[in-house]
Amino acid sequence: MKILVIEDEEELLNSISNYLQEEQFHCEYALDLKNARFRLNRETFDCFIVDIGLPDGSGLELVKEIKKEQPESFIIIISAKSSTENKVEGLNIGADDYLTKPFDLSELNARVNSGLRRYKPVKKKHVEFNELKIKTDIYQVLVHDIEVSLTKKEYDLLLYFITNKNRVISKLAIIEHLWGGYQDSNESYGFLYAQIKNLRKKLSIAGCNDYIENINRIGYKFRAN
Amino acid sequence: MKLITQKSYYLLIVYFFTLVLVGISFYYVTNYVIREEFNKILYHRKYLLIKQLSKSDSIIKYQNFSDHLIFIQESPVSLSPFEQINDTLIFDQNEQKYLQYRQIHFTQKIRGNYYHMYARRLLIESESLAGPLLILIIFLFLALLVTLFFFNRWVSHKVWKPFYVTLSKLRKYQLKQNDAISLPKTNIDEFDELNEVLGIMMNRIKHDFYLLKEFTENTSHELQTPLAVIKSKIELLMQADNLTNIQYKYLSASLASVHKLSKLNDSLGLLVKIENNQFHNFEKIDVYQLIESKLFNYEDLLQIKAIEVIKEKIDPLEIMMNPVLADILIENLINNAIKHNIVDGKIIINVRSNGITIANTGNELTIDTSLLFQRFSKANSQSFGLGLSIVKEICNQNNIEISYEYIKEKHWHTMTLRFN
Repeated sequence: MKILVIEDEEELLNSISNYLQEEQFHCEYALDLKNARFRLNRETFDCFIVDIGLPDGSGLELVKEIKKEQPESFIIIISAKSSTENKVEGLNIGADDYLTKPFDLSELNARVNSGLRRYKPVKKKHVEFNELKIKTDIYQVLVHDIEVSLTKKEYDLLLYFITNKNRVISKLAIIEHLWGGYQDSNESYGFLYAQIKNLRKKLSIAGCNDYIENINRIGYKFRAN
Repeated sequence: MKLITQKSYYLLIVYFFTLVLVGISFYYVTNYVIREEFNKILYHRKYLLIKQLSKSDSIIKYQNFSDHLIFIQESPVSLSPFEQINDTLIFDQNEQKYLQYRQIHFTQKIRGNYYHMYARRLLIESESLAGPLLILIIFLFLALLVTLFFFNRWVSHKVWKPFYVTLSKLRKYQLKQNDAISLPKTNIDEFDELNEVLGIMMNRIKHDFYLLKEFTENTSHELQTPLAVIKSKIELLMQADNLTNIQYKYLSASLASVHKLSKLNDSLGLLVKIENNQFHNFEKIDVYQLIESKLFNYEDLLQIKAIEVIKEKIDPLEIMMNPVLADILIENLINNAIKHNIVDGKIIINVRSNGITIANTGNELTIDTSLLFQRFSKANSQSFGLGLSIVKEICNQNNIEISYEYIKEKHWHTMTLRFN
């Protein structure tokens, strides 16, 4: 899997490629439009992560070009502009996803994975992990090939965990992923605990190992080994 | 008091004194002119009398003509030449009162005899002059008053019109609106100057205002990338093995702060955008449907808190509004109704043709409710207190009245929106 990240802030670029590389993605990068165009014309990528505010122009232009040159690839815009209009504009010109800065790397990773799954044949849309199997095309979770009935939030939570397995994910990142706008931290923590408790319970009843590990205060880790 | 009324008061005072002065002068001048005229007549009478006496033998001691009286008195002694003209009062038997006469008194020697001679002429009474004069002055004064009244009305309609135009434009003017204020040419130097100065002043204020807005917008925008860097570094650091509990604690606190800062940025950026009127397109929005979809999004939160939602659709309600703002408005209100609710609480949403009411159970707010819609007035340390100021700003822009009420006995918070 090859990803091209176009972002002018080098430190952010480092973080992104550092995180994604661990997920067996091959990450390459460009710091400006010129460089990005150069790479675009020579190589094919499975995914593009494009910042909008680039020193030599708007990333939106690049999105248009990518859509023309490599229509099979998946494009995620990362931008400091958070308004709905900006999002709609980005999606309208051909981007597949839009992530507002500052984002969680785990969220970016989840989006990249979900995007890449979208272009795969049905068989490959299945996410498998030991006794767990998630059929993402039909939102079905199987433990030892027996279906477990999960709510939408529990399903999202599980998929997020598996996508970011072996990573410490902050509670805030999960809350943001599950509820988006609802911001009251104290309460949303309570909601999160409830969701995790339910998920654990349902999985353990189905005979699944408990992979979800509490990481002191900060979050959780879906431990694979 | 209007400038023109004030001016009229002063004018009337001046008019009054002028008229009194004119009246008095007129009175004296008239008197003087009459006396001068009488003097001439009396001199003429004297001339005629002397001429008549020197021709005839007999001297008629007393003559009473229609308008004058002649009275001659023989003197036993010799008299030196003498002449005097003055006013004199003489009792009139017919009218039983003193009448004022103009009289010439002179001495004359005719054929060896000396005579005192008096020629008198009845004067117009002073009162009969003063009376009409007073009436005239009063009449003039009243005439001036009426004229002034109509003149002022005319002036304030004609001359002051540009001033009132400027005034009403300034009154309606809102800095936030993007259209520049246009103050027309008036053909009156003072008003043109005023308009010009106002125009310059407002452009300057507007310029500063937009600089500030731009600054806020840029700052909130530019801060997001460094925040993204910080956040990503914390996240990478979190992955390290062998972190101690205390290190996790520090990371967790840092992450929470970054999160808070970025939310603050988002909200401020949104507020600035709303204030700058950057949400243009209007669409017809079914309010009830919007509320239902928002409630659907919050279904699990409602479930976890065991909040019962009662929706009442009394009338259908469709409004013309920017869909993004409508979304934020309803979202924030419902969000608050859940956030400030209690476990096993209730939310009652009522949609009528002229507005909506969202009521929720909850503990009394610790903040002053009159400051509720102000920025950074917050009910707890977790929020910034920007949610309701965003709501307020959206309401302001869309001509929606919003009010908050708390019923203490029942612990009900009620938000009422009235669409005008």
